[in-house]
Amino acid sequence: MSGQPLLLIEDLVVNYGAINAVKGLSIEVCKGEIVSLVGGNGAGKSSTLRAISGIVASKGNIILDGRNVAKLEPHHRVQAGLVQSPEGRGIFASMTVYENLLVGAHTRKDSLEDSLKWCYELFPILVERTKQVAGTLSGGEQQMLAISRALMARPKILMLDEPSLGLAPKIVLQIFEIIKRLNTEGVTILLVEQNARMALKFSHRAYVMETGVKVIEGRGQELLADEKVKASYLGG
Amino acid sequence: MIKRPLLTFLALLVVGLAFEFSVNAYIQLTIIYVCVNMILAMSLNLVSGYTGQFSLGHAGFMAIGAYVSAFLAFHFTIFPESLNFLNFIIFGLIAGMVSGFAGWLVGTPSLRLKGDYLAIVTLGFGEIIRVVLLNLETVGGARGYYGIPGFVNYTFAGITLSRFVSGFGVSAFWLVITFFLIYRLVYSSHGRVLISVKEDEVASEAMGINVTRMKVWAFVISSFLAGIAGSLFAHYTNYLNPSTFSFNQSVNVVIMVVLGGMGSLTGSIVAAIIVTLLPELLRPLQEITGVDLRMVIYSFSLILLMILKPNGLFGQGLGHGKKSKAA
Repeated sequence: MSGQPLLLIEDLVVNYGAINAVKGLSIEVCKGEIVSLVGGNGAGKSSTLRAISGIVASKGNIILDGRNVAKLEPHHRVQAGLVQSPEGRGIFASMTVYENLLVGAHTRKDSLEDSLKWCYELFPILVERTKQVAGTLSGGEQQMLAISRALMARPKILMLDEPSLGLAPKIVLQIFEIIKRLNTEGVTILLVEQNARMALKFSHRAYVMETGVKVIEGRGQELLADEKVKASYLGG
Repeated sequence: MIKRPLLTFLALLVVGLAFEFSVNAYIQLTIIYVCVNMILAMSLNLVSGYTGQFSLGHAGFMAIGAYVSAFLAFHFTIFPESLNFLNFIIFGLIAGMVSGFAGWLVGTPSLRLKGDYLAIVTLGFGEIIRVVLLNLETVGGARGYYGIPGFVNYTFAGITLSRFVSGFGVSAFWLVITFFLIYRLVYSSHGRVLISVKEDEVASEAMGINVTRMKVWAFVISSFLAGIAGSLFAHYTNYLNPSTFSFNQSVNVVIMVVLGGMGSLTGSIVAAIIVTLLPELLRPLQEITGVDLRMVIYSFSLILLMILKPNGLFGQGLGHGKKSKAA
């Protein structure tokens, strides 16, 4: 990809007590890309995303648009444009769909009309559900809500942690098609996925992680064909 | 904006006058306790019910408010005795601020942590306050704090209004402020943020909410109001004893919040009435039977209520109940 990277991660280290979850990871995401982090359990993918959001403490540089945000509190990083839709969706179950979206726009002071319209356009099902309590939505609808809620913050980079978690294959495909559409509408996406085949298929570039370090990087389609990746992550 | 609180306040004053001429001083005292407990329950509900933080130190904040207000009343007079209820409003406000400051001191370090740490810290805090008061001779120590200036009787045109009228008037004033303050807060965008913190702290953080700050603010407002409740208590009973503000009192407030329903102001109000009145209503039973079954029946009815209404009387079944069903 061309130009300065929008997000540059240098030597990211995440420790949980004595356990090193991420050991000096360096990755970059350019404007307009879909980049995915794939790998097995405990590879440090989610820890990386949480560190970028500031939800877990980390060492190393996190440079967004030329500005190092590594020392900022999580809520300031959201204002800077790093917005994550957390693993397991984390929707606010007792609030309505509409209220969830409003909380997503918590950091904004301007009018929300356009963003709301955009979310309802991307996920028409949410229009019907707008007054419904979010806890009563199906898993797929909850995931759509979680993505919309993150979009309400108008991210420079949208980070999605396991959007396919616990969803039926048909819904997974639907979610990934939405991710692709979001990308064509100009949203830069950093994606963490267990479902490597799907993630690689839809990503421009990808990093394969193993026990806290990146082992392979390349274009999504190339990695799909890579023998080593095939053997390790795509089930032969 | 100001109309509804004002009307509520005036309506409460009428109710107060009705009680003045219809019931005896013992029942009037109980009514003041109900008001104090309503303020305590609603304020704790802001922290526990709406923000999801479990605090076990509400009696400690109430004690700070009570003793500060009593101390001020001993040493300062702003308005003459004929208008001394105005003094108590001002002292109550200052007492609340001191309490709120204590809440900030306790909350700032402990609310940074997720989970049940706040319960442990506030439990310890309540006990520290009680033990300090027990050993503080200037406020009476273990003997208690005697002769605190309190509400007085008024005579207009030959009709004497007892101290209950001004006491209830000030209680109603704070009650209305507590209710509308919390109501406006939780139904604003700030309230949405508080509820989202309760629902999922990590997701709230990822949405750009300063989770610690929101929790501390809710906690400070809650301790402020608890301090005011303490001030009311001090000036109506004219006597304070550290043992009043034991762990038991904190648990009592928790019972009101849980019984009424987490995140329901109506629930807190109704539960404060039930929890205050039930032991009193059961007193005659002891006289008839000769055995003190009061606390047995009281506890039994609480257990029964929780079995029949696990979300509390007015709980909407938010949070855990619905979440587990949907997930």
